[in-house]
Amino acid sequence: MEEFNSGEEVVFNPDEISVSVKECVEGVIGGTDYNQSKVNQWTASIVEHSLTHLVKQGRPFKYIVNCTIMQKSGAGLHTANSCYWDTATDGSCTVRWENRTMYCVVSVFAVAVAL
Amino acid sequence: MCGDSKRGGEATGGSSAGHEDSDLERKRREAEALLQSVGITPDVPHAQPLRVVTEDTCLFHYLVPAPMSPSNKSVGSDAGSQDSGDGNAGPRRGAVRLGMSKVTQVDFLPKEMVSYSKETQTPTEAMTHTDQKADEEEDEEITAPPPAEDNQEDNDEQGEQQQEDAPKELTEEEKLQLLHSDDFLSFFERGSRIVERALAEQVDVCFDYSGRDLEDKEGDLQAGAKLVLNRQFADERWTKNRVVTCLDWSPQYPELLVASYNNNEDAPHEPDGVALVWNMKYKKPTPEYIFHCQSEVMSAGFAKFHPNLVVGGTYSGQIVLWDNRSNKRTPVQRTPLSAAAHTHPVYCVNVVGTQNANNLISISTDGKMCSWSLDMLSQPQDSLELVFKQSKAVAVTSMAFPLGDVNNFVVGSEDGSVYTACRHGSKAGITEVFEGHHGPVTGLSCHSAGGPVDFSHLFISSSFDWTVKLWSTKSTRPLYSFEDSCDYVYDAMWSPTHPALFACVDLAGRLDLWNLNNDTEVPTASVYVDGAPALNRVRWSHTGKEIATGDSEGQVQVYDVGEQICVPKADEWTRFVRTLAEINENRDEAEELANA
Repeated sequence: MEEFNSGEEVVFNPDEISVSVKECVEGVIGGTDYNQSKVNQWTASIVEHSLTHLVKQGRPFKYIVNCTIMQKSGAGLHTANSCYWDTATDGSCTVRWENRTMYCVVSVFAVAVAL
Repeated sequence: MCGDSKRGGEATGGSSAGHEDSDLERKRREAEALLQSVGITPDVPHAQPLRVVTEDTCLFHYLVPAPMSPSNKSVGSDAGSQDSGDGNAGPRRGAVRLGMSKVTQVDFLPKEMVSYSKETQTPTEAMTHTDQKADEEEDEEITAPPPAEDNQEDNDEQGEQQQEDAPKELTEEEKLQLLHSDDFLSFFERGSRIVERALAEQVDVCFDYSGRDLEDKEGDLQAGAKLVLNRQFADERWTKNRVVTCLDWSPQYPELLVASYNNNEDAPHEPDGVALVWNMKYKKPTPEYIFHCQSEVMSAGFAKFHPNLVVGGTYSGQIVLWDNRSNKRTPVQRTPLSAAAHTHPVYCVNVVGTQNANNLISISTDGKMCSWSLDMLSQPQDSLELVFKQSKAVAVTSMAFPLGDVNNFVVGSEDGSVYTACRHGSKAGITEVFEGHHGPVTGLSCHSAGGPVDFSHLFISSSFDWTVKLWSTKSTRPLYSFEDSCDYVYDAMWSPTHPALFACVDLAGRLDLWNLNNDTEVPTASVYVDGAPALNRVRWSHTGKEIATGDSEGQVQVYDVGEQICVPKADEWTRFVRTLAEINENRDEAEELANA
């Protein structure tokens, strides 16, 4: 079922990914304020939608999508990640988004599927 | 779960079709063999189709793999493609070079919370621990212990750090620098003022209000006392050997009194002019504020509508302004020493007007009167030469404005005459002369006790001729002359509350209180100052219950006036009208006799 576009150069394109992820985030939490009761739904749907978009592209990648929503309360947040993979074909991209009341960080990791 | 069921499905699918299954197996083995021949490890056939696992909402049905055959196909096709696309697959399969990716960091900086707090408390471990616990909600009890523990660890670390930082000896230079820094100086001034007050306080906590232990208490004796010495202000450094030149009570804080002093001949290095603000409320013996300037201060007063400013007129003709908000003891503003301003000693300064329209009026001994705006002392707003009959400049020694009047005023001069003058209008300058004194006029005071009847046309003058004279602006001859004193009378002032009461002081150290409703021949109350110094100035407080006197030894005495004297009864005004009428009659009679 998974028919990858074989024959194409399989390289991860972070810019394209970040654009589509940003759109996803906008769509889910675009005009809203931080809401404790809804934030679970939000993270789940951001991850789902992002992943859907990624998979729809049909590239031979394994994806890992991570979404963090943090309320703006004056605290600081620092995260970092690093990977050990095939740097030629694999890649990751991190999208940061914020509004008046919250921060949202979505990280997408794409590991090329060994065909 | 979907995956599992589907796996189950696959499994069942596989078991139901028996020979299909063996077929499949055979095909698989063939594929493996093919792959192995190419050199590719056969892990692909066993690869499960990719499945997304989510929490509850499993929306990805279309991503769930269909039954086996497509996967077979894909395997097959993959194998096929890999077979055909040998070159393609080769490098990917063989040399998979793995490397470390760059570290991706995400930073959200904490918001800087600006907070101001006057209290500091070094956090003890126990305190922060309990704070943490108090803040957390019940729901998060499970998570509470780990953060609390973390905090304790942090506090331990901080404690160690504090111990390391704490006692670090400063070098001499650093200490000096700190002692001279602005912050320290202003703190020290404020702090020392407060501590002085506290130390001087002698409150009798055992006082029994029932009066049982009032045996020899002065209370009984004082019941009839008229003038009692309350406080005496002097300062070893600042007032010794100086003469008190002027006194003024603060309109805003009834306990503050400013006294100006002239120079100390025995101390040439000390500033020549000193003005001290004394505080009646606390028992501390030192002044509240100390101000000084380069030239002797001949007159001083609180600026009426500017509670923080003290105005001084000096011997050099300069008018200086001190501000108690600044930490400086020297004036914050000065008028220039130019011909436009004063070049002779300024004996009179006064702020007249209203809150919104006020001027500082100053007159120097050469007859020049300047009016200033307190915001700008670089040049006078207006100046006027006080000359009598177009030629004789008036050497002004004292000045007074009647109650409520900002235009007309009276001045007393060295030649013994009193003049009325006005500031504005076509006839600005000296209007009339009141002759009567035989010596220089030393003090003037306009009637200022407001009441049912208006006596603002009355004023009194004191002079070197041993007399105090009562005048009315309506007549150029004195209404009455008070001749009880045997020495130069240096100052006189009407009570601000009682219409018929005034005080005067003389060179013999005597303070007299005259109540015209009682007696016009002798003072109602009289007291001698200890040591009989020459009393230079007398000033009623704004409440009319206290009198401050300044003497030639640099001391300021504050007397409490007995209530039966200083508090006017309701009929005082009408009685004074009668008294005045009597005085007028007497005067007219005396004149007739003299003329006859």
